Amino acid sequence: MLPYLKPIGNLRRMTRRRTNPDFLNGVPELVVLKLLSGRAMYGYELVQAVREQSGGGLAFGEGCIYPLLHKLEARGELTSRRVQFGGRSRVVYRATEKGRGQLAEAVARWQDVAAAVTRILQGGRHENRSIA
Amino acid sequence: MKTEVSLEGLVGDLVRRGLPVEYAERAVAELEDHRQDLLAEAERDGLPGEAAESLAAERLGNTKTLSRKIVRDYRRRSFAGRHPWWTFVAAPLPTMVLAWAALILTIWGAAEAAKLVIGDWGGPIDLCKPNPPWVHPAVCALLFLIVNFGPTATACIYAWLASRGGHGLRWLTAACLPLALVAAILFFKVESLPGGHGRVMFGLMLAEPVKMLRLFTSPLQLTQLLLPLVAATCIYSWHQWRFRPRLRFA
Repeated sequence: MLPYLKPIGNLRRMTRRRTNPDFLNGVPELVVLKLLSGRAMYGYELVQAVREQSGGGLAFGEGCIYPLLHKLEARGELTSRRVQFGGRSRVVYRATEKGRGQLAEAVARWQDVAAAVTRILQGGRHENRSIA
Repeated sequence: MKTEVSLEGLVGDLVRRGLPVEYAERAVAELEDHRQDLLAEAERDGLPGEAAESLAAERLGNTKTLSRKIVRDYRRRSFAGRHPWWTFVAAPLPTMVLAWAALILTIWGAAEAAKLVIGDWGGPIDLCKPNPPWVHPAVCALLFLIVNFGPTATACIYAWLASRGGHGLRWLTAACLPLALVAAILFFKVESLPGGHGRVMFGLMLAEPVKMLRLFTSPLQLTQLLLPLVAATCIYSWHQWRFRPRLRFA
């Protein structure tokens, strides 16, 4: 079964999972909104951009990007249109104002979670206030 | 080409699983565009024709897996998709009750509005008094519509919900069958009794299971049983026909 979004490289390939690993919940939406806030892209271009800009650390299942794009479009976070270029046409997506707002919230949440996890991993101080 | 055939088959597969045809066509059109891009990339990398096709198909993904994913994600857009048991099993009968309540309120509201506009029109029809011959059948027809409105309107709503939300016939049947069974055991009767009295009766014909089976030999009960099912089937079929697959690959 194809992974939806998988970390590759040093991490174990979870190629048999039906969905993202739990710790990646919400990451595909965050990544897609971030990239499409910068410029409009079509599906193939977006998959390439995720791979390149993550330094090869993340990759979408090629065909699996489309249900995510359609879901975000149904929510009003993306808009799409078919454009012609180079003798062929492609459906191009870009983030809407609502999408940019959702992106800002998601980024803030991600940064909070990442900072909290980092503190724990680096051996954060534990105070047991319940013991007198 | 093999992959084009399988992608074209994907449209039919998505529609069979209950997705709206226009969405299935759109999804597959975009997958075909993506396949073309993967093919162009493989050819730029110097792969020969068949090898490039094969790599593009492999990278795009297995069509069965894609189909499952597309259907699952589409259905989960709505509450009904995320909670099909609540929507299609638990909710139909309460929805039917709400439909009746809405109808009765509408009729009452219309009658009150008519009174304001026309004035007092003499009150409801008195079945005890001699009436024109059309009154009795008209009252029966009105009662038939009222009794069957709840199950039929609810079945139509669920047919629309199932066809738009990609839930397929299985969930639609789960919703409509209880509605049809309730409709079948509903009865109404208008009687003029000796002595100038009359009565209108509504109710549920509940009895031992064997006796209840005999109800279905009555034309009226059979009609009431079939009405919600036929209405739901018509709406679902019309929706599927209206948006039947048109996509063909060159």
